[in-house]
Amino acid sequence: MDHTSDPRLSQSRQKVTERTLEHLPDDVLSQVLDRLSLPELLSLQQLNSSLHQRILHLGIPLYLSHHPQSHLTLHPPVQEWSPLSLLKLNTSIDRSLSTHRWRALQVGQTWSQKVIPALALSSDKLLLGVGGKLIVHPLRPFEQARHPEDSIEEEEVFNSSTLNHPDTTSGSYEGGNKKNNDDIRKNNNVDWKHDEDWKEHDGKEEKRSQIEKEGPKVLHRAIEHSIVSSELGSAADIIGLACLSSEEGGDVVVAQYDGTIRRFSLSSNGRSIRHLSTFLSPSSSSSSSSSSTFNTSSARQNPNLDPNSTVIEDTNQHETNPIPWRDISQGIKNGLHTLSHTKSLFLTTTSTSAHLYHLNSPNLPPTTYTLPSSSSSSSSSSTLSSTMEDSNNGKGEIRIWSSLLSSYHQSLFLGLSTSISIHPFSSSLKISSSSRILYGPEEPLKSSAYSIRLPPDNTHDPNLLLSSWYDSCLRIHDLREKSSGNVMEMNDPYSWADGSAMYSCCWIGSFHVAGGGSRHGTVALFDLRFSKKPLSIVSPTTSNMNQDGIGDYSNIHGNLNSQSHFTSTPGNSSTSPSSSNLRTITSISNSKSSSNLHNKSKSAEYNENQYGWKLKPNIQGSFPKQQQNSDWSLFSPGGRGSPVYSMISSSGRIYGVTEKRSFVLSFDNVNSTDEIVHSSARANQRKSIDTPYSYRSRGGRWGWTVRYGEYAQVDRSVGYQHGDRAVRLFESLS
Amino acid sequence: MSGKLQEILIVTSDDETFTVKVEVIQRSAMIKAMLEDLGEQEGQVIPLPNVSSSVLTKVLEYCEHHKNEPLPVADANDVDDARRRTSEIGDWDANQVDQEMLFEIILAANYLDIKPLLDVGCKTVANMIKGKTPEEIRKLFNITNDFTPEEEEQIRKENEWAEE
Repeated sequence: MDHTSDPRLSQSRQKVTERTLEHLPDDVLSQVLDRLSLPELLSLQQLNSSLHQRILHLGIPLYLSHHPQSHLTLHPPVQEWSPLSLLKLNTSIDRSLSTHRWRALQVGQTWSQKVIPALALSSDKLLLGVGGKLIVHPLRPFEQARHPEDSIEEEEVFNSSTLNHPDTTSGSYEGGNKKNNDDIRKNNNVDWKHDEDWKEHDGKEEKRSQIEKEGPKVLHRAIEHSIVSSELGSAADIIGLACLSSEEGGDVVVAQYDGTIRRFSLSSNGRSIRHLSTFLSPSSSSSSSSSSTFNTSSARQNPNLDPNSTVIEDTNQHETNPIPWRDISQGIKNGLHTLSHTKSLFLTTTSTSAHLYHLNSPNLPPTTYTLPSSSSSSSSSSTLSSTMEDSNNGKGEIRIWSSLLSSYHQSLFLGLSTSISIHPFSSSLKISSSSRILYGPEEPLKSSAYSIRLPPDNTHDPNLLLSSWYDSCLRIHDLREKSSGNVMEMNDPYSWADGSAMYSCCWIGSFHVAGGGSRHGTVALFDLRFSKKPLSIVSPTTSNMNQDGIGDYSNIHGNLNSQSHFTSTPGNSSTSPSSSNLRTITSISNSKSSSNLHNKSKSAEYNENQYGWKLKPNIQGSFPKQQQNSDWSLFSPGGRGSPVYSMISSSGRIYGVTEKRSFVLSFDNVNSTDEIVHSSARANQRKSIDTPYSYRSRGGRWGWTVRYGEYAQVDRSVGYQHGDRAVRLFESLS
Repeated sequence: MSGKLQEILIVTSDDETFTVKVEVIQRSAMIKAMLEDLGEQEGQVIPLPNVSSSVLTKVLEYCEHHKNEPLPVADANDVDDARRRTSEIGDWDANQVDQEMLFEIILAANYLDIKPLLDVGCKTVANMIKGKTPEEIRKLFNITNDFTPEEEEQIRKENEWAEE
């Protein structure tokens, strides 16, 4: 047998050397590496130079592809990162989420009035819609301290960014950073000799990296644009924002409660804004009434243009259309509540209808889907918040609370007061009225879906739908399953006991989801690998489970080639056997593969057993043993009494809004807060701070205290672990 | 596969001829495809210049043992799945083979395109690595350390970030 020859291998190499680990061909070795945890992968790297290279060029990229994270706001762009650096960042983010290490900062000043803000994020800015104001926080790379001769340039950059705000002092910026930056540079310049070829292509990057640190970008001081006349009051509040381009500057679509939808062009520094177009309202062609009186305002005409605004250059004059949405007689039903978008389309919803637009065709009326009306309602409340709670007191009609537009699924998702309904649409944007329904709690219970999110940037399988609900739960539905039930349900027991709803949600890191609560500005964090009910995550083999105590959730990272199915009557997804035997899964998967209607591969991983739905991962965990219940919550800065209305995450940071402020939670483990929010964008120092100090289990209430002095001057927040019997509060890094 | 063709002949790299049942050897996606291409002729001879008789014996044992399980579906998108499906190392797989044979089997499974076997093999190797120090892994797989002590220390330090 020794004289076997393998034509695929070079002649010079002796066969005998091929029968070792280090000489396995890449495709085979990758199957071994796939099954290793991160520490094991790195152990292999230490064996010899050949394995060192192969782990670096094969193992680590492979690992990253199984554990992707969303990195919209990274500098330089994520594709320019070396796999090793990215792995370090991702690992640090996941670890902070697991070990409750975070920084919490308010972004910008506290707003003067309570609002329901709109939130959007792109690679170079954080956008907030606060009442009638569009607030643009530029995102820029973190600038490291430099040599004195460079300081002039720094001054320039800095000043240009804050031209509108001469009161900013650059001194505090420079002084505050130097010490930390030296450390950062030291950390950053660890000499990865084998990592160098990843950087070969960018000699110039070398120069740049001395100035701008690799990492998530820093929030800078906001530029505010008043794009709605203040006369209009809350009826014209911004309810939704859509950043259309992830590149610098770029257009933004702004939707207002009164039905106005406009497209603006923002300059790359965010300082100037130009009105490009106004979208036709859905019913403008069939408008019958033209009363344009507001319940709250004295505006007579064309309220879109703020007469005092100097920044808006209106280049589009078709404002003459009366907008029948403003007809008071139609009441709240016609107020816009949500906006969501894809690259080419956007969706708005009122409480009873959804409207689908082409982004580039403002003059085309949208296509419309109207909920089958159950009864006439006389709700006259003018704000979302006041109606959010009471719709669930039973008898109210079905209404739309939230929406999501997905190009992958070619469908729109509507969060209703009873369920989530999914409507496919055609290429001509015709919205199907037949829908697939996903339920929150088990029937006959009903709840409202307040927020719906698909995983960003293919970080998980695109068939996993995350939603937050009135009944205090976050849920994940797997759209490949024919069941209308969820595959995972999570809640913060303390919020739940408190009767707080979950208003918002997002995916974060490789394994976590976050939910924004309705009462205390809380953000709950759930590790999908450990969630207990009803879905538990199992390892591929029982032996692995025993070894590590955990499974890896990496199969949630999906097969993007697979087709989703959206039929209201999903045909052949017969998951018949009810056994937890993994062999059974094999047979299920085979029977399924023969059915062409269904998703080819992924449903194979689910197996219903007496415990509910089990999700089978492909490789095992990347972390050492952890406690089963690692879920926790934190109080966002200054969030007392407020809902967390919306959250977006990127690069280990959660950007969120409560009723009076925006905040950022950073899990990427940076050295200082200056790497998260620039000193010019920080809130004014407080004299006192509300902080929770205890939880009374009887009555389910948080006790708050006001703390003064030094304690209040440092940005901090507290958190607690869900599994604790008695709440033990712990603090963020400061 | 129709019932007509029952057996074929396989010639290994060391010129041994094996008579194997089609239902057994069709676990190999490569041979299955080959048979489909060649048409069904009794006594078909297939040379396998990359596989020795001792390895083929083991591979056939595996195929024989698993012949009643459904065949993996040929689907490019299914590769990941196929890997996940083979979850447990079964009775046969628990058979002790020495390390050299293990890698031979893995390479043969890769060549013959027997995904579940490749999977079991890779899983076995991965399990051998788990929980061991670099030095133990080196010893186990007979890997020569070509780092200088300084280099080794440097790499160990570089990897400290991953330790909790």
